[in-house]
Amino acid sequence: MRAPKPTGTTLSQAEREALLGQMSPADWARAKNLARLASLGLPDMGPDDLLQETLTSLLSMDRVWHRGVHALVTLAVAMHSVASNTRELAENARRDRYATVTTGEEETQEDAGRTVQVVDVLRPDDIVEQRQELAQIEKLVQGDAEEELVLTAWYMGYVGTEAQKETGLTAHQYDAARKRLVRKLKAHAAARKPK
Amino acid sequence: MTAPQMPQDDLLNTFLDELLSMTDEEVLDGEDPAAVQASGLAMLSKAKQEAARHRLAAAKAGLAIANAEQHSDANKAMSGAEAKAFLREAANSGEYTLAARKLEEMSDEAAIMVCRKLIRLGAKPPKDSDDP
Repeated sequence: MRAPKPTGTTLSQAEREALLGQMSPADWARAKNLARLASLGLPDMGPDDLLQETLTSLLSMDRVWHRGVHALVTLAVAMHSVASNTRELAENARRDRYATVTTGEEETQEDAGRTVQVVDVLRPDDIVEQRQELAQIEKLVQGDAEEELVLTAWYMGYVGTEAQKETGLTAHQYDAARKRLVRKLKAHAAARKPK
Repeated sequence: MTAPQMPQDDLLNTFLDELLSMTDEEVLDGEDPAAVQASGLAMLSKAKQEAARHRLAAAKAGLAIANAEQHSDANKAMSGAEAKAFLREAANSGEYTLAARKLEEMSDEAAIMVCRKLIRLGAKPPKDSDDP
């Protein structure tokens, strides 16, 4: 695939490097938190691998970075895309593992009836696995009613004060529950590496 | 409470908004800012090197394709007359030595063969007769 050339609306490689290089410590922490969420359920790819791969794809000009878009927003979009591609590759590899390659000659043989045409080997649990990242985060918060409320608010698209009001929690309860959730993501990611 | 399902990218976007609504101290959560930044910059540095390797590989691949196309263009549809005209021009340029008599006696096949050899050595192939 040929890399898209920078245009007036997209950033050049030097501009990308400069913006990423200017990220504050807190923004790097935000990027790592995003990677922890985006990598949930990814086979053989931890949060650091995902963030590394995303940075490389952005600097390789494999992905578009529109001028004026915040580095973290671009990272989140690119990260989601890299994660999706990785999931797709893993899914295809799993299909290949179960697929039976035939030359067609078997059709004339007696055992031709045993050849199963692989249309889709996805089982119900495979389909669930595709949503694994969601299932895993739900599992992480299970048993903590306040964290479950925070996650539900996020699912509904509420953030910050709006999310806090939606959950009915006090500001202090909301902040504490959010902190616990983010820490659980971090602990979960730490437990996964190194592969 | 059962959470309604939503696409992961939406959850990621919401989470990003949430992270942006948090103060730097909240996001860092007691981590050493210098260490977090150093770790991020180390990843960025590695990404730069990796991107440079990708670009080099892409440039090499592009060059190989261009060379293949050049040879392919030069080899296809080259007539004996075109080859002889090219050889005559090459000889007149002074860069290559070729006896005029020898050129006249040369078969079309031989002229095409010599022409291809010169192209492989770096001579510019004859222009397509359809070119303006």
